[in-house]
Amino acid sequence: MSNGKSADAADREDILDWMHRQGGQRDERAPEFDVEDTLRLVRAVRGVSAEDADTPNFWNALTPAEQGDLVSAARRRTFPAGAALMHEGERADWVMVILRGRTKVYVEEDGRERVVAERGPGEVVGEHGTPPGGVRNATVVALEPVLALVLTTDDFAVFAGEHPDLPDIVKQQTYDRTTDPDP
Amino acid sequence: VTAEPGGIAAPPDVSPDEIEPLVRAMSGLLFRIAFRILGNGADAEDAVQNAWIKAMRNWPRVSSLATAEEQCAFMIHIVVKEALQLIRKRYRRRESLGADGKEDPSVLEYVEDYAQIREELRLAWQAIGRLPEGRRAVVVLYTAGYDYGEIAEMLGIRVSTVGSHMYNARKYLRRVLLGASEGKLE
Repeated sequence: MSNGKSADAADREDILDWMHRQGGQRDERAPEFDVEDTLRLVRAVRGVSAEDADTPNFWNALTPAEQGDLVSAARRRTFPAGAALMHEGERADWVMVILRGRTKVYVEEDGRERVVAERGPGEVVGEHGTPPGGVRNATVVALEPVLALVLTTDDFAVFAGEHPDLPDIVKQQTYDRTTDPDP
Repeated sequence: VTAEPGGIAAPPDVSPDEIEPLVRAMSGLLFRIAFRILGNGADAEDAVQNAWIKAMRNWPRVSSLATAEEQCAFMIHIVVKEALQLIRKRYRRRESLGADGKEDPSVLEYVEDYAQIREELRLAWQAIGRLPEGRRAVVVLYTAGYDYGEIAEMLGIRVSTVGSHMYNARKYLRRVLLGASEGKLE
């Protein structure tokens, strides 16, 4: 596929025709698609959206359009029960929005766990008191299988920039990272 | 079901009976299209998943479409949009890595050998992103290797319409690319 000729030809050829040939060649490489992960995501988004709207959380503070854009800006990750979503002391340059499953948040004191919070569907983990480039001040462990959206701080900044009207709860939870969460 | 501006979002009422058969029936095609645009399985899967979430968030529109063909065309438009957004994200990531940063291997790896065409490609994607929505979908599907007849069938439009979108898009892209190369000479 790679020889000097193609590059030269592309100079004279319409760029769209060049892309067209490349795209056609990709068809043979297309892997089989497993639809199950997509169905799981669809179900999880349905589930988290059906959560009690009276308990305000990150997810249900967003409009449906904002929720869609947030999913586009993020990648998906799953964790089995018992797995750590993040560790105390590691670099903190991304946040997670939980779609399914409960987690516990704990800090280590004298070698013992002290649970400081539980976070579940619709809530954010990894955001408190962590300026960009800072380190995690708590560990988060899945109590049951977890499906989460992962956003780098850069991706979140882009998302926030494209949605200047995000509700305060969203900005507070993930954007205002240098302020003390408990004034 | 709509949200009050600035208020709490009402959960849209999409029943699994409605959406899951569509997801099962259409995702294979949507994935293949996304793969031909993006050249990468993980990104193509992201595009498909994003497209379904967008569809869920816009369900009254999807369920108002009368035929399966119309729904499929609508979903193709969405998946093309999501794929374009992923391409934009790749370029953004590449920029933020800087000149001496390690390059993201997912960035259009199949043109690794074509240093010269890279800049042209970047400009082309940028220009494609600025096309009006209907024309943009036609052009992106063409760059994915589909021919005019296939595109017409997928989007439920005439072959002659595909042709005129392509004619105008070629003209526009030539102008953009020519402008860029003349700008460089100055």
